[in-house]
Amino acid sequence: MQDHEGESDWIIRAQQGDDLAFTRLVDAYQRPVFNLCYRMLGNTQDAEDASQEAFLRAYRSLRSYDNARAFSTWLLSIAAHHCIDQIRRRRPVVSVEELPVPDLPDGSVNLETKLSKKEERIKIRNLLNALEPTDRATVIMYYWYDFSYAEISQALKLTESAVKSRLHRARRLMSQRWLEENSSPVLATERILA
Amino acid sequence: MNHLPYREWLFASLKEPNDVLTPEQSGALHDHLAECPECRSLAEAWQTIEVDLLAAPHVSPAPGFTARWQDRLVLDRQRRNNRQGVVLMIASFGVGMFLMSVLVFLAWPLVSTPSVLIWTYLYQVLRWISIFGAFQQFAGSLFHVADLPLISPLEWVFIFGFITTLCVLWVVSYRVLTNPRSVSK
Repeated sequence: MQDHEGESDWIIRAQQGDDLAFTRLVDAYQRPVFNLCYRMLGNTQDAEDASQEAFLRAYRSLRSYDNARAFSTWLLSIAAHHCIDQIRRRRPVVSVEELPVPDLPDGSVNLETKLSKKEERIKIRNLLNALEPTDRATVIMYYWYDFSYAEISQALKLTESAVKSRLHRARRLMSQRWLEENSSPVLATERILA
Repeated sequence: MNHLPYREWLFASLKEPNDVLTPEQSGALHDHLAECPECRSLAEAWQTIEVDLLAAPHVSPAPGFTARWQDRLVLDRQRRNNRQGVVLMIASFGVGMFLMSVLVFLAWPLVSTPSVLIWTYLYQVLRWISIFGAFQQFAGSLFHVADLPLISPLEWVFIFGFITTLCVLWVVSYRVLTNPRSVSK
């Protein structure tokens, strides 16, 4: 992830108690943080709540932020840990798969394209949902944020070899899940149209 | 059939240059996939998934995210200020109770009947509760209006420890000064 222009100034000013500077950081990082939370939790409401909370936690612990470290890694690490806690605390009353997938603004006008994108989102959500929370965070950081093994290990407090083995396990599990899902195409189509 | 090395290789990422297989490994994997339908279906599944993952877009929040965050920050500050007010009240109440106990201990010989002392004590406790309640409300609103920085629990311990020490010193000094030692003849 690329840092934003003037970001280090905003961070220093925010550390000195300038709320406006931190608001600019929120503005700059709302999308990556929200996307991480959405991919982790699987629905927009929880993602909104988790991303707001992640920014609050970052705001409260900004003084302990080490300026030598990338701000994006630090911020996404906070968001990922919060989401991992949320998933572990969740009561298994409603499965994420049963939650409706909202129509997010994607710029496409064609109904067929919209359905296809929705189908893609359901597929990705179900695949990620099959993973243990830390494995999920590892996959998301690797594929959506182009984090290296070292950055993921720093963000999730794992060793690099643990990151590699978690990614390998996640790939295997997702492939198995994908094969299971695609063995009954009628069921999958019904779920999309529901 | 041993699938182990092939399972490692077939989950190699398209993204990672270090995960690219050597020509020998690639050939061995190709041969294995030709004769193992299980690994072949896994490999196909993974290739499809990885293409989808790499193509999946970032999802944006609904418009007005920053404004909602600012509102939440204000609410969070109010909640924390109220919590500080409660901490302050509990600590003050604790100090007050301690001082009352010390006073009761000192005044015990002066009271002829214990019932008077007990009623006085209860009256004082109720009076102090109402005072501390009002003080807590005042402190909460002061923190909120003046936007004072939050004080950590450790700092509160030091502050109240210091105040308590001063109070004890005051009580002891008072006791010593009002009851001078009698000099035996």
